Amino acid sequence: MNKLLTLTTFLPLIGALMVLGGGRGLKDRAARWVALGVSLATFIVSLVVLGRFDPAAVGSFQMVEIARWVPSIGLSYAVGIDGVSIWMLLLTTFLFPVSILASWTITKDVRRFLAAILVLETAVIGTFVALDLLLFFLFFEALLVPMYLLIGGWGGQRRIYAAVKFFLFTMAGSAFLLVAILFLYAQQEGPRLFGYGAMMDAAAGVPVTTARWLFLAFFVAFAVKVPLVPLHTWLPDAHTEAPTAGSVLLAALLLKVGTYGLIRFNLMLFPEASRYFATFVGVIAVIGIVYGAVNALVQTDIKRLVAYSSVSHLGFVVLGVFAFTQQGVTGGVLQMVNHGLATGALFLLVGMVYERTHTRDLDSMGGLASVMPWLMGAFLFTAFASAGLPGLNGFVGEFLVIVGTFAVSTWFGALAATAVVLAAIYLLWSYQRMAFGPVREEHRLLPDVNLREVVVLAPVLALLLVFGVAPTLLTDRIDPATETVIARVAPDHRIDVGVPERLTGIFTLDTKATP
Amino acid sequence: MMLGPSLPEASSLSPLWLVPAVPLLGAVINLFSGRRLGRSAGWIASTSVGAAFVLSLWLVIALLERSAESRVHIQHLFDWISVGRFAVGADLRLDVLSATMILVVTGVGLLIHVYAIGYMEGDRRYGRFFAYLNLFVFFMLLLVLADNYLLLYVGWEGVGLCSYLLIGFWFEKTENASAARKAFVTTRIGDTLMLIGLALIVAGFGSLDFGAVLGAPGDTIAKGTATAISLLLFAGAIGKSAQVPLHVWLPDAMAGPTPVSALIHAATMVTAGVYLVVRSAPLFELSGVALTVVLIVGLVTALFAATCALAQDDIKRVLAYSTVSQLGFMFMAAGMRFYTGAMFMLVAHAFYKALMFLGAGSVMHGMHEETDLQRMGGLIRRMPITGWTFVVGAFALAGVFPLAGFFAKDQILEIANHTGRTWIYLLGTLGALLSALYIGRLVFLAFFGSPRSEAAEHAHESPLVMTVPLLALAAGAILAGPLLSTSAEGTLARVLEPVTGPVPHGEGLPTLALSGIATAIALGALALAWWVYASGRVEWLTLRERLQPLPRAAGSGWYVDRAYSTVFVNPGAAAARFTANVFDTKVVDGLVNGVGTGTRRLAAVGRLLQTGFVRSYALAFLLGAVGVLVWVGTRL
Repeated sequence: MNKLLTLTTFLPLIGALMVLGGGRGLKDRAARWVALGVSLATFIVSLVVLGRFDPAAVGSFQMVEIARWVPSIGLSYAVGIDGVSIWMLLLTTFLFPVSILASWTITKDVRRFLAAILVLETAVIGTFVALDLLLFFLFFEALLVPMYLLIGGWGGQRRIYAAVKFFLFTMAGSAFLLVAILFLYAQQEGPRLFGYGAMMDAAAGVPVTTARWLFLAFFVAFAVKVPLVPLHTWLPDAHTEAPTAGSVLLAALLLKVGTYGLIRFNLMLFPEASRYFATFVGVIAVIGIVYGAVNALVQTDIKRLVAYSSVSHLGFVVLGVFAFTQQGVTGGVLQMVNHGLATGALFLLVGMVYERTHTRDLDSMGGLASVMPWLMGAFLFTAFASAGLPGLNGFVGEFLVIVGTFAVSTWFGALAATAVVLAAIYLLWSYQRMAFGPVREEHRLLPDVNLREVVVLAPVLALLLVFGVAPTLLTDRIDPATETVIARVAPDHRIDVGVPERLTGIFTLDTKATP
Repeated sequence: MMLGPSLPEASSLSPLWLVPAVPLLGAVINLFSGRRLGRSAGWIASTSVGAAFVLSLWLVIALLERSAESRVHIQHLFDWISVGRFAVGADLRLDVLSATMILVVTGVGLLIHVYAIGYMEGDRRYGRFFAYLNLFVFFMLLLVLADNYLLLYVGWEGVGLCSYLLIGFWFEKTENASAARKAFVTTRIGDTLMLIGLALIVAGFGSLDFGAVLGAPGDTIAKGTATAISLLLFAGAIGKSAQVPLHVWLPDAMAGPTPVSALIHAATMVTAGVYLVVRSAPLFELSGVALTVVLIVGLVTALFAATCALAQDDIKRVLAYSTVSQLGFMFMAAGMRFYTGAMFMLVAHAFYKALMFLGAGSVMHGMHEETDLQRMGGLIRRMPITGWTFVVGAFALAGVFPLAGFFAKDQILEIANHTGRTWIYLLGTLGALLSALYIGRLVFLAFFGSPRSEAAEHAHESPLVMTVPLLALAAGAILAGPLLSTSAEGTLARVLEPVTGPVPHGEGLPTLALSGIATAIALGALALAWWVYASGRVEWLTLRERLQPLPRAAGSGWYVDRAYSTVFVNPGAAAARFTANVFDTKVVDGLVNGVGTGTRRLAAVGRLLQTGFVRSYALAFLLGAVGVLVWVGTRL
């Protein structure tokens, strides 16, 4: 039987054991190479998964593996992927080696640091492939520990405060999730199961009001992770204090667990409640889009600024998903990938700047573009990708979300579009304070990017361009999966804004002239 | 619906994609190896634009060899977006309208590239400069060749990006960097409204292809929707073409190197708004109201900016406000459904305004970066080529027969008169009068009279690589008028008619009388400018002091910037600071923390965790999981 997904999931864990188990004989340098090698191997395996994935298959999971794990309670080990999770999986396996290479400069307790990162990789992959709700919950919880350790152990000055805050917020959210899962489980007749299908049936059986309460319980758990306003306040603190790799992985992947959960569980388990709460969620999402952007405007700590921009961008994802239109949902998923790459790259760059200037305060920088033109050029490129410049990756997802939302609500779409202006303001203003103007005396001799950093950045930046020009590489696989989602959540009024046939040729004025 | 017959793939036009691709290649080469290339970076960039120009010329000739109804070539490169049934292709469209534009962009662009080889000599980021310039040409060509609104939008934002990079090219000076950011953000306000317009188009037509949107039957969307879409598109045009109220970025954009001002902020990018309106004419016509808005905005801008130009002492700022004003004239033409007139003025203006900007750059080059008109004077003897070509450009702008500007402006005013818009005609004529005055003032202050500074006395002519483009542009400014004249029988009108429709006509004063009035006004205003600024008989600075505070107000652009700061920027920033520093950190964070455990207890737990409790969380978690399993197990 095909065990590719299991291999992808647990390969990093084996790596973690290797790094830790190597004992004192394993030098830091060797440990780094081991960790990098293992994460690269994981990436390669996930590429094989991508190669075997059938993009045309509609409405079913692929490469499914099911094994009974604790049969007495109905817990199974069930994994599989569809067009949404395949990209989350690839994003994960792609960004981990990048993050490990970006963390080469860490010297404190290197082996534990690497082990925490590799454990985190297994947990993140697990949440994206799990098809059993209890299994999902276990991975979902398991995420917390390594991330807590990364922030608390290798973070900045207020790292303990930030780590605890992160921990408590997400724990509080997942308490609701656990209760809801157990409730659904208890609803079942006969042999009870935590499997996705069984839970879906159980959810279909509960009364409408109950389903709405359950929806809210799931929603709170995921809203904390996304994060949606007003549950977002842990994010700026966590980002500010986390080490570079922690920030990258947090922004690019952990936040996506939230939006992924909304799509996979809220929409699929509770379609009626999703429709019922759609306007409410839309309002929260739009508030988040504008609110996150407004807050980003006045930040002076570059990491806090990017954190608030994430709040804004993730609002786009949720808005698109809860529009229940083909373009909205696919645009939302596309935006998940795009945000992961662009914001991941931003945090990598911020880390590189910090390693040189030892400050994150924009007012203590300036003129860096004349001392490190390539690093600042890469920064500007990424900032424009993040601000949704057409031709780079952020634009397509944003536009699809706006178009997909417009079909159901003009006002939501129009309000969301204001973030386009705000993003330009906060990104360009922060860039100006960092890169333009006269150079400070103490920064005059700072070095530009080195070879390792080029290797870290080049693949990510290349993808920002590739997915801007050829988003169909992603959407060809996302589309069939979101079609399944929409068919379940909005079976009666499926909205697809396109026209089937294309018209070209000469057109003239005289047919339409009004007197 | 008027759709042409399905056209066979014509091999003679299939190299179309190379037109934007070649400058892009130039940009990539210069970006990654500009430093190693040294001075040849400029020649590589110029060659790539030159090649695009020759190719464009060849394609346009091939296009014109076809019959009028089949002068369109659509090239599908690849599927860009395809989600559900909504699809956007990377499709190029060569028709008579885009053909006009690519000739202007590559032709004028080529001359400016060559000029920049001399002008940018010795700059430490020489290669980078040409990379950006090439990238600009690529995006501009994409903008005008796109066959759908979204690809047009890619070019639209792309030229904005290049404008940002080039205005802030000398970013070591903070005000240059700020001007760059101001330009990008201000235009992006318009762009965002335009983006909403695109979403409305999708909602109404299900497609963004020009063929589907502009060729759709008139009853596809309601009139109100057409008005909304048109106005939102026009908002984008207002930003990009620096019309009131989003004009504030263009005068500051002069912080960029002068070839940039000539190429981007006069000849090409800022005319994109005019192109957009002309291209989208079927939508604007469907609305009707939208055209009136275009006309009024154009008129107000034309007059407003002309008064500002009259009071500037910086040679580049005069030209910047002049550009704003001239673009207003183009929108006036479009607003009166005189699309060919708008396009003709666009072409003519590209020649004479690029000429004057490059002339101003040549003056600066010869005077150690001096831009203050008060410190010039008598330059025509020191730099004759620059001076006399500048005079040609200025006379063209003033509307002196038979230069390009005469035909352009005269015909717009004639249409106003002949379609019964008397007030528009009168105010437009006032605008023409002001234009001749401010450009006369510039010419006489800079090039005539006696030198008013050390630098003016020792000014020197620029090298050939800079003066040859000036001569070529001057030839264009002289010849464009008679060659392309847009009277109903004129060449450009006949060629453009399949896309822009027939020239509107009606009854009014005879053409000859209108031309006579226009010429009298232009010459009179120039004479007046000579008398005040160069004859030596008037103390113009004293005169100006007597007129205060009007000149000061006009010089500041009528305090619009200050008003925006007071009304929008400062309150907005204060509100954002309140939101971020008080509301989010105190209220939201406090509340959310409070709801869970109480802030005090959070701290207590924090201490607990700090003391090593969490390090054994893994164990606690495991225990918890077992607990859950046990609990579940007992219920079985």
